[in-house]
Amino acid sequence: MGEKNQMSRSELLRCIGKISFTMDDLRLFLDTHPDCSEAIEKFNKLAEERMKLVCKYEVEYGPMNFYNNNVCGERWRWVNAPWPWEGEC
Amino acid sequence: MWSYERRLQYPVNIKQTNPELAMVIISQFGGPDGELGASMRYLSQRYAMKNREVAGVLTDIGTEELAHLEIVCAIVHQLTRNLTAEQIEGTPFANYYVDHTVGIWPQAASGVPWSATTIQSKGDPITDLFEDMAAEQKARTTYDNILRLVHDHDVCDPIQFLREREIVHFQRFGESLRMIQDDLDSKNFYAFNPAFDKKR
Repeated sequence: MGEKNQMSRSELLRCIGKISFTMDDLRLFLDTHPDCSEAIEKFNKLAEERMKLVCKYEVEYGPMNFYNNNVCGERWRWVNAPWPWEGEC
Repeated sequence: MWSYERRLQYPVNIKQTNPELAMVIISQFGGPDGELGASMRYLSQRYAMKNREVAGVLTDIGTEELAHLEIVCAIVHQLTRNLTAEQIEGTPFANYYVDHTVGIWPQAASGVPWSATTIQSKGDPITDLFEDMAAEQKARTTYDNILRLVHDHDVCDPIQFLREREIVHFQRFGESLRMIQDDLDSKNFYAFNPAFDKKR
């Protein structure tokens, strides 16, 4: 446990963070350029990629988005993992 | 409706505590040009914004500002966590500590509590967008001021990210203002409230 898992968790988080940020930025761009097909295409591609990564993360480390909470197990998983402000996230 | 996502928009991993620096950075949570005010300003202004695209910009930037205040709070938290009273004694953080221990509370670097009087929601799209563009620049200036005082890379890195977002938001608000103006009679840009007055 520990070291190796920890690494892949933070790596996965970094990947999700990067993709999500690109989507955050594209969202603002698309609000003022709603007809830009290039940006829409990029957004859709990233959304698909992101969904896969979040799914992978949540199976392994617990829910990232509240609505995906408690897919398995008896314990309320929302409170299991560290909170983002604790660092290492 | 908002849904919490269990991650920061930009990572914060600070190894070295620094209560003096925390006292300065907290201004971008609850200060006059901080992220809390930014979020409340944009989210409040949406209701009088009849242009759909611009209402979208206000929603999405207002939402991003919530993520930014979480980053600022994470920085302050990590700069002050596990401090002992001895480490706090004699620092500018001591006064804050008396009132809040090492909890997070929205105030300016000067100690003034966060106030809605630092923001405006005027119900006039042009007025509001000028306010928003000014707000982004004021926040950018504040981050520049903070960066001159920060020498720890772990702190600099997320602050630089936040600073860059101010510039992007300024750009989007500038485009929003142009969209609003495109809908108006160019002779009367500043004479009427396009959300309230019939005459345009």
